[in-house]
Amino acid sequence: MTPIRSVDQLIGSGMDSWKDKFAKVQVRESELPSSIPAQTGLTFNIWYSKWSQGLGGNTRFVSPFALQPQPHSGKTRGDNDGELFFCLFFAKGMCCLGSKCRYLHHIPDEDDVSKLSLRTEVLDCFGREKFADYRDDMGGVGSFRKKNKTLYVGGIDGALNSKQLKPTQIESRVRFVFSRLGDIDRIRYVEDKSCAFVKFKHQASAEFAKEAMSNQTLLLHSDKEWDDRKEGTGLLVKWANEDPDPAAKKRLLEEQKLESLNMMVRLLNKSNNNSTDTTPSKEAKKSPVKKISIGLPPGVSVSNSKKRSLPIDNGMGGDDFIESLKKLKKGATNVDDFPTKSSASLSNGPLIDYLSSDED
Amino acid sequence: MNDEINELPPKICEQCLGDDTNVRMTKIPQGSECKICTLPFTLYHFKASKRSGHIVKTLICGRCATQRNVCQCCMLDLRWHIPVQLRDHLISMVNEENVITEEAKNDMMKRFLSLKDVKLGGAQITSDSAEADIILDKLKSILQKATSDSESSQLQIQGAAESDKNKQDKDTEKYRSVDVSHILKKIPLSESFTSDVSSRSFFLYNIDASIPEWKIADSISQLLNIKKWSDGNSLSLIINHKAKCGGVRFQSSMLGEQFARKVQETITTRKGLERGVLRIDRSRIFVIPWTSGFSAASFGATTAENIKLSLSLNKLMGLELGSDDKQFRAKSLDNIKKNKQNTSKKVQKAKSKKSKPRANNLTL
Repeated sequence: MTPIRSVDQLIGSGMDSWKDKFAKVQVRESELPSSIPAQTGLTFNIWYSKWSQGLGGNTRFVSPFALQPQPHSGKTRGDNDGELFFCLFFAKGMCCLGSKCRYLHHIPDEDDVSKLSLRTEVLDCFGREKFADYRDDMGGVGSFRKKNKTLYVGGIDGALNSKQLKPTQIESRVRFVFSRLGDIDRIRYVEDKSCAFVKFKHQASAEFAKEAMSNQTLLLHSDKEWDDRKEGTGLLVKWANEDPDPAAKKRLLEEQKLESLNMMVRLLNKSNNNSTDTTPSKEAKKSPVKKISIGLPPGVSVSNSKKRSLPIDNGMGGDDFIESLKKLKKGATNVDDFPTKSSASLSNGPLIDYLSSDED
Repeated sequence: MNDEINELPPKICEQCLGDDTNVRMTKIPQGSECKICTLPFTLYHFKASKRSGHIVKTLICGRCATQRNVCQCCMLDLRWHIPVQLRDHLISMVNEENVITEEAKNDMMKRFLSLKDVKLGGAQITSDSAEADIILDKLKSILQKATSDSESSQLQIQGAAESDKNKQDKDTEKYRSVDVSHILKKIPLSESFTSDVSSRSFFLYNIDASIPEWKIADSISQLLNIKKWSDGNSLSLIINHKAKCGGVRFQSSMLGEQFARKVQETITTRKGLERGVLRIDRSRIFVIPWTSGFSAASFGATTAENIKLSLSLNKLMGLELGSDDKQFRAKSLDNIKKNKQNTSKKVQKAKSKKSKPRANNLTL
């Protein structure tokens, strides 16, 4: 028996990180399906990319493409450019650009999540805008009001082409496919409703997994139904509502409490830092904008009243902004002509002299 | 609808504007629909830096932003840069009153609310620097309290354990008819955890429902000094939170041996069996080698079986650890055990019969 040097080497030989290779082209462009879905109505609405005037037909299908996390991920142009967002087509397993894609081609990990954290309040991990409320069917991009890390996985029967499996087998299949896409918090399969709930560690992972697993099959290559997988209907992956279980509610409360405690610590640290190191810089950098922002009518502030310099503080755009601010201030004293005067002054500045509907 | 608020400069935080001193902004009057109140507003968009490929847009109108004291682009609180819910939660924790930013459900109400000149929820406090400073001061004292007397929080947990106990009693009644002996038979409870054990799989129990899987995976991979993502599937973990137990399987028995060696802490049960201990946060997870391997079915096929399994394991732990253990969990379990003895002697007997022969086998 040969001595084994270290565990790392042993593992390193089998698996490689996505950072060591370039992303693969998942599909050739010529093989991509038409962007127009199969005709189910009389007229095609190019805005919604849907057929209308008809029965609608069944829109559920099994995607012919699937993301294979290990072989597909790799470096792209986006990695060089410091891109934050992931490629939606990569998640669906159908990016035809490969390493030339300007979005990221790998599974979101801790680093990505921390980089994304500033944006994820309003954008999902693919850079799409979130909405105030969930869609009625809980599908889609999701809401910016709730930090939802839990996915509802339905349509399991259709994704298995009605293959009869034991509940534990289904659970392990769900666990297998979802655990490749991010750190799992918990998975629960509800056998009498034949649906599963998958909770991730990060919301970004949930967003990614939602797109990656929608309309996918749960069949494996070894199943005899594999060849007919497209006859089934894929998984339905949606956002989950809150768990009604009292124990889960209690857990959620605890989690929130912990999160706010952590935030308290961070806030205090930040305020301590601010009070120590902004005092000298405040005197050093007495920007003109500062004065103006003080002179503004109450209730009006350009930005937060932090001691750092204001966002637009010098240069051409800034000066015009200051001009308009000054005029605004004057206008505030003379309430009657305030709106007209300020709008006139604003539309003079180069910052805002783009055409608008008023000018047309 | 050219109202004055739309002509005021946008409320955008510094984080969104980026580090550049010059920001070139485009203004489009009535350019977009506010995501909160659905009314049209003056849209501004810009790039945080000239090189960046992303256009940052204002998503909500100035009115809604002022009402909530948030940035129009990232919708984080302008003072603290935290989400609205978190801010409200924080403030309600500090002020001990319920502060929430109530959002209207229907469109008409959304518009109506947005036209009112009010500050919603925590915005009342964070929009005023003096009040926000007061909150920060209060935060300081709360945190000091929290760190100085951690015993109080422990008391809290103990209280929680009490209520858990009642629930557990109810559960035992409810699931008495469920038979999990076939599952228990397959769980290697009579095995002993030693540092030279060679096994690819391990049984983990005493997993509190609040511990997420990733924490366990993290602590195991930290122990073995491997990175989870880069190696893909060097370990697979199945945790059944309903059954409060789970299993871990390593890719190779090499890793399994390594794991057994790295787990330093062990405890000895009353029967003289060794159990490895994984410490996560405040709780301890016990480890037993599982040479026969496992599948998801090893933790029960139905929810009822899962819960019953967790109850039986709890009872077993009470027996194993005895009252000399100082952990509150063991204590509360002991109490349950006593209760059981009073209420249902039959079940208790049946259980002890089940566990005793196994122990005898081992001593032989």
